[in-house]
Amino acid sequence: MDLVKAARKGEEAAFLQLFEEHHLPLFRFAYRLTGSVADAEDIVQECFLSLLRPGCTYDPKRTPIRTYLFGIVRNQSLKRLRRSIGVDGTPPRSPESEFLRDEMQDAVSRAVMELPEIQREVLVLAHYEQMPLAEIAQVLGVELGAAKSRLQRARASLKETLAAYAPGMERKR
Amino acid sequence: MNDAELDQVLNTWGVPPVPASLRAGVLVGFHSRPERMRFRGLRVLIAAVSIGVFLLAVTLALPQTLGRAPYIVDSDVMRYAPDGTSSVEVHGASYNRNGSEIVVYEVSPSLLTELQLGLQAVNSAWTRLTLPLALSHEMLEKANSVARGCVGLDHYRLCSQSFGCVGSGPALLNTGCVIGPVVGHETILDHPTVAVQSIRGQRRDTLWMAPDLGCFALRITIEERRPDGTFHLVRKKQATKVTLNP
Repeated sequence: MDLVKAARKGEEAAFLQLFEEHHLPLFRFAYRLTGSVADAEDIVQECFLSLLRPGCTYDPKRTPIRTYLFGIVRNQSLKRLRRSIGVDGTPPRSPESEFLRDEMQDAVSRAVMELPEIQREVLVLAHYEQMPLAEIAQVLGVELGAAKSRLQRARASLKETLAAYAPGMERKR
Repeated sequence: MNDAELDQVLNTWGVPPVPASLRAGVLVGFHSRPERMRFRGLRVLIAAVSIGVFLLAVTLALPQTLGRAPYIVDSDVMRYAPDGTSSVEVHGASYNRNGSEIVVYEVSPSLLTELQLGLQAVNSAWTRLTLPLALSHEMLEKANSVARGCVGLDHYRLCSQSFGCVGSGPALLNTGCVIGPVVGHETILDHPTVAVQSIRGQRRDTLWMAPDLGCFALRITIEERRPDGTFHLVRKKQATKVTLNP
């Protein structure tokens, strides 16, 4: 039986199976979009609970569950980001990032977080979640070509921002 | 920096471990969802069964009103102004059963939006189903006896003034629809009719009734006498379509 259907009927095992299968990539995605563990946790929790609501529009015939869940996390993350975005137009630095000991990791997270939203989400899905471009386009609700060009722009931008951290450049820094 | 180098740099960005509280929070949310969600299917089932029982009770109580109509006649009722101009007052659909007209629906053209048409049709059907439940047995008998004595425009409360004493429905059928002076014969919408007339005071009503449709009046005219003694048309009901075995 469809796990979502079973979960809606109150089967805890089905709900937990859904959670175990999908929560890790969803958490990573939410964290890399918001830069906050607390926000990522809230978003992923809300994402799973939204499946149980009567108004849930999920249709297994139209969308794979993974794509649907990523879409929810993406929308929730963007909502939170827009609410908390700073006056200078950049996302807030998370408490976690303040304690990153590795300089390169800090630089990468900062560079990714400073990308425009529409580039950041494509980059995170494509690079960190290894999601095919076609599925990314479905999650974002855009044409394949748009997703592809956003990814190219994101990567081009990061190459510039992170040029100093290219392997072999350590000595020059 | 090339693509491989960028990938290598990007891979240094790790993600903190998932807090244990996430799983716990999701489970709490799962168990605390509203009861109505958990038993939604059961509630829908109960509601469906209740409606079914109600409809069954109505069907058993009113088998005569839920019977299949042998035919349906669409009609327009037109009102005529003193200057001769006319306007459609009501559209409707009806048929005769045992000499009494059963109205399927009737709507005013001024309200003919799709939604209103649907609502009026539903309202008409609902009233037909529930009215007998709201009436006492005596009132129902009285209503039926009045209905049996009326044909044609009974739902406009005109028959009682013009043909209110023509006798019962079965009597009407037994006389071949002749309930007054015959003033003509005409075929309307492929159905032969006999035209009978009644003059009462200043009014003259004429009904073209089709014997093969249970004396259904395919046309009714109501005229009023002018001071010079001539009659002028004030209202007319005209069938526009007859559907057999709908």
